[in-house]
Order: sequence, then structure tokens, then C-alpha cells
Amino acid sequence: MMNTLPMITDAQAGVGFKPQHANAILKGDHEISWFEVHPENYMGEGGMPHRLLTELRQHYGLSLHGVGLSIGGQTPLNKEHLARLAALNARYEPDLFSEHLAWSSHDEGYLNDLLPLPYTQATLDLVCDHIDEVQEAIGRPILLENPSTYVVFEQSQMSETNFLAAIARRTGCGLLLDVNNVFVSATNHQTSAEVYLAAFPVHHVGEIHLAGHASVTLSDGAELLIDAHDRAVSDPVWALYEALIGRIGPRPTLVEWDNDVPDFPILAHEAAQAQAVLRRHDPLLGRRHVA
Amino acid sequence: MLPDEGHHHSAFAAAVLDPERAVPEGVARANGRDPLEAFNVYRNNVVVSLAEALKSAFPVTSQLLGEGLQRALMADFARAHPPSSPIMSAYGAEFPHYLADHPATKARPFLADIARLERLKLDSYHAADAPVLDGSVLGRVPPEALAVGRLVPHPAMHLLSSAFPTASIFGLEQAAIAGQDVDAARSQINMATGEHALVTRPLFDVVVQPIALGAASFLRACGDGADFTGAVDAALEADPAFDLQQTLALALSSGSFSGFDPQLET
Repeated sequence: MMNTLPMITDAQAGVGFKPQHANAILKGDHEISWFEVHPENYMGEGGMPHRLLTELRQHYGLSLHGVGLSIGGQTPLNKEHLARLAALNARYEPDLFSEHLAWSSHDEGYLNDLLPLPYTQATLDLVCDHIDEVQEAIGRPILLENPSTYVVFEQSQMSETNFLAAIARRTGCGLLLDVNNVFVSATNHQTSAEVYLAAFPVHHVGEIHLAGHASVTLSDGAELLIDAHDRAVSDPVWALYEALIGRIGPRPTLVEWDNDVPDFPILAHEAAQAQAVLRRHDPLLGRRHVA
Repeated sequence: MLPDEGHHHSAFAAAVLDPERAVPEGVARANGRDPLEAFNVYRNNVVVSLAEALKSAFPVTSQLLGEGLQRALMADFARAHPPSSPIMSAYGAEFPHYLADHPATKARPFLADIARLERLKLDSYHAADAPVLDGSVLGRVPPEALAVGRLVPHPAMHLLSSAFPTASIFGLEQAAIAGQDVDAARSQINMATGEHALVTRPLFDVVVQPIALGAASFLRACGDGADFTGAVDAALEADPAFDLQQTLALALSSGSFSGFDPQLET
């Protein structure tokens, strides 16, 4: 059976789909060719959410970006949640499916945030087991996203880039490289974002995220960046992104703006900037899918 | 002495939810700086994101609580009752009960019912898709067949019976949130009257409206599996003034049924 759904290609920039933008998007008066959603927002049985997503999927490429699996967690994966993810994957046939290197659930319940884990042999084995289980349950490879972190762990035995490389090697999953997270974490840990990106196993990268961050000054005078997703992408992050694409070539790039969400044209403008970078470095000169 | 791997997340999760606890062992910041404020980012993120999920699930309850109380109660509830599932649209099932018991809101018991109504509205919004039974279809069923058949409730249809004028308060406060001037209408609300609220989703938007006792009893009986005659009997017993024609017209136009099952014996 031929797949006639629109597909995401390497040299395309997308944005997160927000229901308040549905009319503007479906009018079609823009250049965005794909959208990303959190599958957790589409786990009801029916109504408006599925109606919108079904309509969207007819015309645009789709990426599912999970937040609730707790892949880095020490509790078993939630089987019902996995089943719901598998059902959404079968129903909407997304081109990209991703989750986070983080945990969110423990005995207390689901904490609705992306919490950090140390990088040790034990956590590596646990994460790989979970990813094997996810890929088996959903029936496709997933992309794992590098986290924004505010603390480090004394227990860690390896670098985050080595940890991610080992996971990709062992499980066959891909990686989602969030350039804003790289910048936020590097600033917070007083390390170099450029060094991190140079060490990143880029051959596994299937998608890139860009987003905005907030800044607070701690009582000891140090700056802490917060992965707020509430504003435009910052200049240093654009610079890192341009250098990255220049090095590795185009990858599907998503602009994340989840809080204080602006009107659609502003969001589309951010994506257009990413699109321009992708075009500049595309050997095929930005071959685009016509929706 | 660093904690054993198996206990790491437990200590972290407990400390995230309880600001009185120390930062877990092993958690550090670059260059040996104090990790407390950095760890507090996670504390803040968790409570704020949960409280915001509650606020968006309970907008009218939030409006009635007022900003200060809403913030305090929702943060307190989030710490004490984190979700059990990553499906955030289902979060807050215990919130009405929390409001009913809490010292700050006990004196306003209608708040718990408003919160219950908002949960039903969300349930309706996400309910399975189903056809809406059309009046013309029902009109073609002969009376004797109607009597033994069963009106099938639509998955998005819900009812709330309250000792307070909950549906009216809800409608008023929604109008207030939308910027309308409702002071005059507010002064006319009689808190000593109970109401029955019907929640339906005829298209994709959820509709909440007050309905009569007889109508509520009829619909509740249909929801419990009664056949047409049984539902009419239940309605008349609850309210001798029950008006069948009016109730059917309301139920059909509001999308309360997804079909009619003739219940033919085979």
C-alpha cells in the first residue's frame, strides 16, 4: 500500500503545533511543511484534538515528541502508555518519533518535568533496556534527545556525549540534537558548547531542536540558564546551529516555543530563519516537499 | 558515601516535592558550588507545571478562588497529589474532593461541584467520537417500538446533580472570564437552589446547561441502561411535572444520544 501522506525531508524546518494556530495553519498561507506534537496531548479517545491532528496529517509531515515515557527512570516503563504510543504511531504514521534522555516518573507518581540522571554503566544498561522495549512496542526506531541540565552528578562515570553515543550504538536508536539544550547545559556547567558539539555522535542525528531560554542570576552571582521554551531562539544558539549544519549538512529542524506562545506568523518566521540556514548548506539546494 | 544507584531517583523525587528536604547526595554543580538553587529549578518546574495543568483544567474554579488562593491551593495539591499518569488532561480527579475538605474552601461547598463540573467538561471534550442521534430518525420509530427500545447515550454526555445552582454559576463565571459584565446576574443567583447540569458535545465544543429534574432523571436512567419506558417511568417518579416532548427535544438538540437500539428479540 502506497504511503500518500506528506513526509519530512532533511532540509525542512518545522514548528510545534499549537491548537490556537490551527486555522492559520490549515489556511495554508505559509511555508511550514511539518509539525511536531506531544503524543500525550492526543491520548483521549476522540473529539477536537484527534480531529485537528487528522486534518493536519493529511497536509503536513508529522513528528511525535513524547515527554511522559520516563526512559531514564528506575521504574518499569508504563505498559498502558507504551500501548497508547504504539496506537498513535499506527494511526498517524509520523515520520519522526522522539523522547528524552530524562526521567519523570517514580513511586510518587508522574512529576511532569524532565529530571536528570547520572551517566554510569548501570544507568546506561537501564536506558538501553528501556529503549529496546520502546522500539519493540512501537515497532520503529526512536530518536533520543539530549537534556537541558541544571545539576551534575558525582556518580557519573562518562560524558553525556559518550553516554548518548553508546546508547545509539547499542540500541540502533537515533538522536535528536537540541542545540538550545547544549547551550543551556554548557553555560550552567561552565563547559564549552562547541566542544560538546564537536564530540557529539552526529552521524546518528535524525532531527534538530532549536528553542529559547531564560536566564536567572543565582545568589553567588553565577548565571543559570533555564530551558523555558518561551521566547525566540538566541543569537549564540543560531550561531551554533549554523556551524553545525555547515559541518554535517541539513537535518529536519524544529523550532520549539511552548510557553507564551506567539501568533503563528512569529513562530513561522523563526522557522523561516532555520529554513534559510538549511538551504544555505543543502547540496540539493533545498529540495522541498510540496504539500 | 554516595547513595547506591537504586535509591537515587527516590531521594531526588522526594526532595523535588518537599522543599524542606536536603538536596540529595551526589547532586552537584560545576566547580564545587552550592547546588541548592540549581536543584530548586527542578522543584519550581515540577510544582509550577503541575499547578498550571490544574489551572487550565479548572479555569472557572480558578476564577472563583481568586489568584492568591488558586496559586496556594494548586501548588499544595500538586505537591501532595502528583499525577499517576503522564496524561495531563486526566490530572486533578481528586481536586474537587480536596476543595470539599480544605479549611480555606470548606465554607464554599459549591466550589467542589464547580470543579466536578469542569472535570466532566474535560471528559466530554476528549470522549470517543460517535454519531449524534437525529430527531428525524427517532421520529420515524413507531410508538410501540420506541417503548421497548433503548436510547443509547452519547459517550460525551455527562450529568451532574448538585445541591447548588452549579450550572448557572458556571455559565456566569465563564461569561465573566470572557469579559462580560455579570454583576447583575450574580446578584440574582439563589445559592439555596439545587441544579442539574447536562454536559454534551454536539459538534466539537462542549456545551454545559442547566436542565430540569425530570430531564436529568430521564437521561440518567438512559445512561444506566433503562429502556425508553423505564426511563420515562423513572423521570415521572422523580418529577410528576416531567415533560417528555420538551426533554426529548432538548436531549436530541444537545447531542445526548448516539443512537436508538430497538432491542429486538432474536
